[in-house]
Amino acid sequence: MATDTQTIRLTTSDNVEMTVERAVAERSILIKNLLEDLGGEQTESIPVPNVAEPVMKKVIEWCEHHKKDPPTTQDDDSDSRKKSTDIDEWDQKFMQVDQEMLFEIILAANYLDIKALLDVGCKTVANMIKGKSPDEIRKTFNIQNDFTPEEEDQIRRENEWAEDR
Amino acid sequence: MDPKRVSLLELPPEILLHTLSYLPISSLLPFSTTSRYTHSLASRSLHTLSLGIYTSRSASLIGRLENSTSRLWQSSSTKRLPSSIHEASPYAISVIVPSANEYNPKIIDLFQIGLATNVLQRYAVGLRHLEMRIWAFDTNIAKALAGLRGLRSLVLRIDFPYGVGKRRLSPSLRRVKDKAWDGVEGAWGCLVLLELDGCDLNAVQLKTILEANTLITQLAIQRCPQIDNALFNYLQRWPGRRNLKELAIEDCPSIEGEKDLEEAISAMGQLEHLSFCDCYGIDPKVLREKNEESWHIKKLVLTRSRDSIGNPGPIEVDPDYLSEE
Repeated sequence: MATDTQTIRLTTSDNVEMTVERAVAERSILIKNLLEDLGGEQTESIPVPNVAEPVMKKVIEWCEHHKKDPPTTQDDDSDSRKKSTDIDEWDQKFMQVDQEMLFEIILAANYLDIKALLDVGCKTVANMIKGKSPDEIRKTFNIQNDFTPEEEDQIRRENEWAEDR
Repeated sequence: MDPKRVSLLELPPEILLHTLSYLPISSLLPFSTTSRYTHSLASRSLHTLSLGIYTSRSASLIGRLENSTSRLWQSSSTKRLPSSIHEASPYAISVIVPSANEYNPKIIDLFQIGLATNVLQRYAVGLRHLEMRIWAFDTNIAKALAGLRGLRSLVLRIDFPYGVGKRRLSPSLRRVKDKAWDGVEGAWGCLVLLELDGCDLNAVQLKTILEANTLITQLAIQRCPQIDNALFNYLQRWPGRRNLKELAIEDCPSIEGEKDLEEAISAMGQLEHLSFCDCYGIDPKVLREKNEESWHIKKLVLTRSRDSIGNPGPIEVDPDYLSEE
């Protein structure tokens, strides 16, 4: 075990200080760039004003596990058509949290610029939508139906072309 | 501690759009019907669509089989061989016009034009990759196509509506209306894949498309009898010629002689795949020699003799698929 592992400190939105291995924290491009800009040994705690401690803990847990992953390449737009919602087993387990936590993780990943975590989060949500009827989707995500009956009827007819035949 | 509660639709729209981009069309549509906001999001996030409109189930089966092996899926999936229809299915929709034989062909044509135009207009903002198989093409569809501002890949096949056996088209009703292709003038700009099959456009119309789209890396023109040597005259000077990796001009009977073509190919330089399959106006020997001598294109497909007409090799069908239907 290397003893000289460099650590940094983060202060979450609810004022909790966390000590994190630098290599782990650098999965966040935001933090990585920040550390690079500051240069040298970072002794001050870095404020993360948008993320609360429980969420940060989860994010760090994910970063720990994926510490050794190769850096993500910029998602090429032309690749969007081969998108699949496959998620590896560990990530699936990791994402078994309540909806609020899931959305908080997604928001944190977006803010901290951790692309792979953002993708896993979005895929998890996509999988929750998949195969559900409109009513089931409304129920799952607490979406208010704000269509008038006429509009709803029209939308339904608009989509008829794509129904399974 | 009381963390503020976040619900799905409170996520920023860019994250929601990213999420929806993972959904197959069969899940996107129910999502779009849940509220006004989700409807507007969903219509923006359909990025890939393979739409086939058919007049019979058998025509749709054949069409889907062909679509599943098209360039659109091949170019993107390196690890998966798109050998079965299921591969392409998340974005594939087949519409079969009910009891099409009982209607006046003219009405069926109008129905198809209306449906295709409508779908394109509705998803204009999000569509990046489109494959469409239709039989009637007019200015309305052309304009709707031109309205797909972000389009990267376009595969368009215009085929006979009633199967090869029953060409019930009245002679007055051309599949592709005269000047319809003029409707796409100046369109797109970021196209990287263009495949036009049976599209009945002429070399001048194709030229205007190419003029506006110099980033194309894959260009395939099939069964277009109006395309002649003028195309090669233009390709020699086309600013995008050095980006081109694949060029397939297939079954275009008006292409004749080798000289124009040779000069155009020589001006390209990046080609890895060149096909003149079923173009009988070209002497394959001359091109093969030229390739060994100076082009060195890795994959060169030429028609050996007239005997090979209609013999593209065995078509593999997934038996599970057929029994399901």
